[in-house]
Amino acid sequence: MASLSIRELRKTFGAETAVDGVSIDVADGEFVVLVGPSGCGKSTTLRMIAGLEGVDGGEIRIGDRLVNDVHPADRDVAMVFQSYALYPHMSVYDNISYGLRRRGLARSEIARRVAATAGMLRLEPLLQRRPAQLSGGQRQRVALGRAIIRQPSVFLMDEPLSNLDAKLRVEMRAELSRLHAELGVTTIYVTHDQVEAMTMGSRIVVMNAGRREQVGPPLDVYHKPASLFVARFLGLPEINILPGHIATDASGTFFTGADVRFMLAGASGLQGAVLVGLRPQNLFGSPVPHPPGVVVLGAATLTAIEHHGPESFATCLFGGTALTVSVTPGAIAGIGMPLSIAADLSNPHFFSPKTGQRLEPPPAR
Amino acid sequence: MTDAPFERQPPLAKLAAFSLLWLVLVIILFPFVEMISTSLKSRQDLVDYPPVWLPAAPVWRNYLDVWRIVPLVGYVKNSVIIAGGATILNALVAIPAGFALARFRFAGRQTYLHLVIATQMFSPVVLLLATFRMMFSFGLLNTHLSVIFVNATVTLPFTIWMLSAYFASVPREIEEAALLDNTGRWRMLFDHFIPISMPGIVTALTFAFVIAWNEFLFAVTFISDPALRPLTTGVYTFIGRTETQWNYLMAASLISIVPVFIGFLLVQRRLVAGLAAGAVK
Repeated sequence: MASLSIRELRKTFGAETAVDGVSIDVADGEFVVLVGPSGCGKSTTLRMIAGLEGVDGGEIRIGDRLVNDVHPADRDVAMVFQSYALYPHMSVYDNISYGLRRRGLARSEIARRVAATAGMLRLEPLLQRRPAQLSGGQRQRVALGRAIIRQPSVFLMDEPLSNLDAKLRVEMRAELSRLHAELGVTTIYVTHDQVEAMTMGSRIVVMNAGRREQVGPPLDVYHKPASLFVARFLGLPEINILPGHIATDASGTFFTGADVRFMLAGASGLQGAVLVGLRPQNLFGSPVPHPPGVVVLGAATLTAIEHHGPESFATCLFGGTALTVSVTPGAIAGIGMPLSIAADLSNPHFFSPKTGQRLEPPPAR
Repeated sequence: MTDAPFERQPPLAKLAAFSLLWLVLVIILFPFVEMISTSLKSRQDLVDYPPVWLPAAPVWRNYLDVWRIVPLVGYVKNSVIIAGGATILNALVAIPAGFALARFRFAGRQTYLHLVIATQMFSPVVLLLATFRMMFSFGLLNTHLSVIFVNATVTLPFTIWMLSAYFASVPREIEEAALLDNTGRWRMLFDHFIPISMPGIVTALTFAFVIAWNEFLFAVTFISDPALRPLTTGVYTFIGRTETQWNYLMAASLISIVPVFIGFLLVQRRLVAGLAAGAVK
């Protein structure tokens, strides 16, 4: 096992900059998730760590060793590919043991390790099968086995669950977390799925356009997004962003947007143009008057409803602004009905309209 | 699949399609039927007018006689040496070349590929005189090697292209996984690319074998020693100055097809693609 340190990592493909000065420090045994939309540079970063892509600038250290120019096989990393990349002409046993054979381990030692790995991943009955005879979940476990058996310093996982169906993905998420707890190997996990990022990583690195947007424990990043991008990327449904400005007069500090005006506690703090972010979970739509304790923003018209099981969200037109708000499913009659919108303003997010960066908000009322 | 309940093809269109298929089949099979019929004719049947399509009394003896009249065993042996040699040469050159062209990035790669295929544009007849001079100066005339070399040269562009395309279709992740598993280039070729691409390799080499097996022009030009003749030029003996023994020619020709036919049956299982299924989702 080893720590991993990336400093000012850069990669360009022609005129395209894929990774633009990314720095990440991963502690020994940590599970770090790189998350971001397609093309944000997360997979390229992972592939540079693996040695499958050359480094155009910056440095990668595994433990204390600078590995920029070290051959992939000599970096002591194991990778799980999105497509699994199993050897189709080899049995599960041969797939798992191939890396050890290539490293010249004794036959008895290989057999012992295959048995242990197969046991850990419940692959014993499948050892003589070919990949084509396995289900998606089984193939995924073989791909994991091939990485685990090597006992590497670092695991690199490139969207390993994206080819599985929803149910299997949830199972494998738990399985991966269990394996990490059991093996304690430093793991870098790439995904575009925010649920995977939120549930699996001890820390997440949100990436955008080749840059690192924010690093931190998942809940910290969710509750205190460093930028508009992070706020929008994390959280389901997407956060509501209202443009407007903050001004203080004799009666207090107010946020005024195109269709809304509400009071913010405290006289000091932000002034001028801002973007305010309100999560749908903190906005409530109701056909009947709201209970006390929330700030009523005004009336809106329901345009669509989405049931997520335990909670439901409505999209509604609030003046000229589309808002996503929480609703109580039973209370909703149909599209077009009027709703009263209220907000819990204990945790609004403020961003600079110019830079998109987070502005520290004044304390809410 | 054609019996699917949602099949919408009208019966008339179906009939037309099948009629066309049968017509094509008849056109393809006609020469073979004619060969079989002629091979069973007596000398008298051959000259009868109007010609008989099917001899009243098939002369099965023709198939035994040809072995006595010409050294057919020797011809088969020579053909096996020539076609086998050309096939082995194809394997030795086309597999590494196809792998390199598919997987290595180097300057002039595309140009090289185009040059390789450009050599296919020449008719063998155009090259005949030049290759004859070359074989003469190498002292290879009247040797199997001359025909092996030329046959391999003629088929290599195609086999290189085909294998290059096959190797290129192997998912890049497999190569990367192997790289992380401490696998060098040669080892990668033998451990992964050849097994995964086996249907393509078998197809390409079958092509090379069949072309060399059927080759006539170079064999008749380079080999004049009767003991070294392959089947194609050997059975030519039946075409005499005054008379062509069509029955023997056809019988010998049919016999010459048999080894290729058996070989094809043996490898056709391998031709079934789909070995790569399950590698990457």
